[in-house]
Amino acid sequence: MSQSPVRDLLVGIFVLVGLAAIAYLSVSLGGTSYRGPGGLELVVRFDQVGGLKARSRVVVGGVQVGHVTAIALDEDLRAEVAFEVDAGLRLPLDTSASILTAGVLGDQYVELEPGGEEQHLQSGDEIQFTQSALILERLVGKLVQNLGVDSEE
Amino acid sequence: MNEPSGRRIHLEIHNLRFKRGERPIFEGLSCIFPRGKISVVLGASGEGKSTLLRMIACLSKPDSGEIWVDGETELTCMPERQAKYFRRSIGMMFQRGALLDSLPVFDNLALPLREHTSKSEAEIAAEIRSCFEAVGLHDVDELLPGELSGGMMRRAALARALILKPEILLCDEPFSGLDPRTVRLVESVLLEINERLGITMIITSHHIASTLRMAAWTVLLTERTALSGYPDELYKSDDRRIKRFFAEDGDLPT
Amino acid sequence: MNATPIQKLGGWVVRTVVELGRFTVFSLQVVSISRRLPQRLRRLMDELYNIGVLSLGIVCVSGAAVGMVLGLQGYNTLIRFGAEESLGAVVGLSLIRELGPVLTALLVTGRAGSAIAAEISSMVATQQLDGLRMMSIDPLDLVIAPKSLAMIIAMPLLSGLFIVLGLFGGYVVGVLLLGIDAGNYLTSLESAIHFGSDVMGSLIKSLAFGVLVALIATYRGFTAEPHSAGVSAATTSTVVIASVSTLIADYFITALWGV
Repeated sequence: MSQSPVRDLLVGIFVLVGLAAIAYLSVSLGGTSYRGPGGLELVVRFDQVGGLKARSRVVVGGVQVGHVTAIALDEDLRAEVAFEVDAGLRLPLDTSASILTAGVLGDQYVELEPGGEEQHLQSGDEIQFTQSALILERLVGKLVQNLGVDSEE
Repeated sequence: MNEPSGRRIHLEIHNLRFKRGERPIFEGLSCIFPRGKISVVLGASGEGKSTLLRMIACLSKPDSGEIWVDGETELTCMPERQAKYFRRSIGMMFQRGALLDSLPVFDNLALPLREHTSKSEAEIAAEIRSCFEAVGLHDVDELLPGELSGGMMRRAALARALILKPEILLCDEPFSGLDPRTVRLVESVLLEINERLGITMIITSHHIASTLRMAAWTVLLTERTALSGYPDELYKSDDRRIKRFFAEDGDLPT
Repeated sequence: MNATPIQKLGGWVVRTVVELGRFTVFSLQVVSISRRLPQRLRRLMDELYNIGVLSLGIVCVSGAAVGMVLGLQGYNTLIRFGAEESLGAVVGLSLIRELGPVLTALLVTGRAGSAIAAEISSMVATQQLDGLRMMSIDPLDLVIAPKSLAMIIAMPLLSGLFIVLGLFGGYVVGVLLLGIDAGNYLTSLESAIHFGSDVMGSLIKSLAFGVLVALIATYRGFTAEPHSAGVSAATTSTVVIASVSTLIADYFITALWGV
């Protein structure tokens, strides 16, 4: 039953190329690479989270380091955002978190700005310094208000 | 009709009934097949010759009735698992060969040996060689079944039927569609196999001439039942149904 | 006997339910016989060649073409909102979530599914399967299971290739022809695609479609009437039933998985 070995080679190439395509889609595009177990888990509270949702990106200096795992309301009716970042990340205690928007119409993400403290955040800590999300409609509303005030003066 | 004596009966068919949809094929069909001899099943097209063969091969089951092998094993009530095992002792030569058309002839014959025995490739090649010799085939190893001539294809199908050394050989219309010379060739191969190996052979056919030349026992299927006897007895019989069958056939010997 | 329309409808419903039952039994038998597949590696390789490698041409060309059309159409729509730089995301999400698995399944059904049905049904018609039974070899074991598994393996691989080529087609049109920034195409693509919800769902879909097409094609072939009209009926009904089933299953998987 010796079918041509060329056929077997082609089958092997087909399977390898197909798996490579799936791997590209999963890792490079889907972003599975950083998903290792045992990430650094942190919490931060905002007055306003805007359009932030679970799996939104968490970014330091423009580089993605993790993602949001859960968003819930706490007893004071503030939004509590839990997120997970790379395990080895050393964030100073006075790191601040803000919610920014990618482009004008893009997705929202959490940007972490490291502070200057010597000590670092551990798993379970809460980030103290925050800036809430900017809601586009309110900004426009404020702008219109201000323009109205200016024109009156 | 006289019948062969008891201990030489290999297969006994008892009171088969079978309907295909609304159409009755067998209504109380009974006959016997002697051991080690060539029996020919005659009948007009559609009378159920192939169906009878399929039932003996355990590929189909009748609606009612029994098929006894050596008076001991009953085929119609056999569970599929046992039937699967039993079929190894039966070889079937199909009308159109039925070799796997994606495999060369050699691999077609090797398939049952590779599946069911633990013989080495060398032993398998030797067995196939001797089967080819028995049927008079040469140089067909690498050919695909589609590349064989009619006579070669029949002989290859016969070789495959024999490869597992069956006790019963069933041949479904081995002569149909062949020219007279090839008919004689296939006939002589079958006769030689029977002489050399002594296995029970059941052949279905329309060819009265070759039947009279080959058969030690004949079974005529007519009017949904069977009439059996020694070939020359049957041929000279006064039974109206038998006379009508023989009269309608153009291939009468002079 | 003149049956009333209600009787005919009732008869049709009963026949369809019976047929579904037989199909289920057949599928379970194929699954059960698959435990013998390690001995059928040779045939599995042959079938992977027939189903996978030989479908590469149509899948790759179609993938690139669909990607290019998505690039064009996406651009034409997004430019109205000034959002044309998000073209990567649009092309990527459409391909990965829907068009990749579904179109690949339809193409493979037409090319390989019909071939499988035709081959098996003509084996029935020429008594080759009976020949196997006479040698105590189960046709499900030697013929059906390897073809089915090859289809199930090949489908996600082909779908992945379709998608990647589609992304490339979208890139060619968007970046090279229409002037979108290459970096933006890739980043909007990367930020829009999540493994869990998008890529995983896509793989599950193409696996499910592979199973469906494999079982439908082999079943129709196996139960065909043993003559030429039976072969043709098996082939056409395979394409029709498998295509419709793929589309219906697509809805259910999308709804259940949330893709």
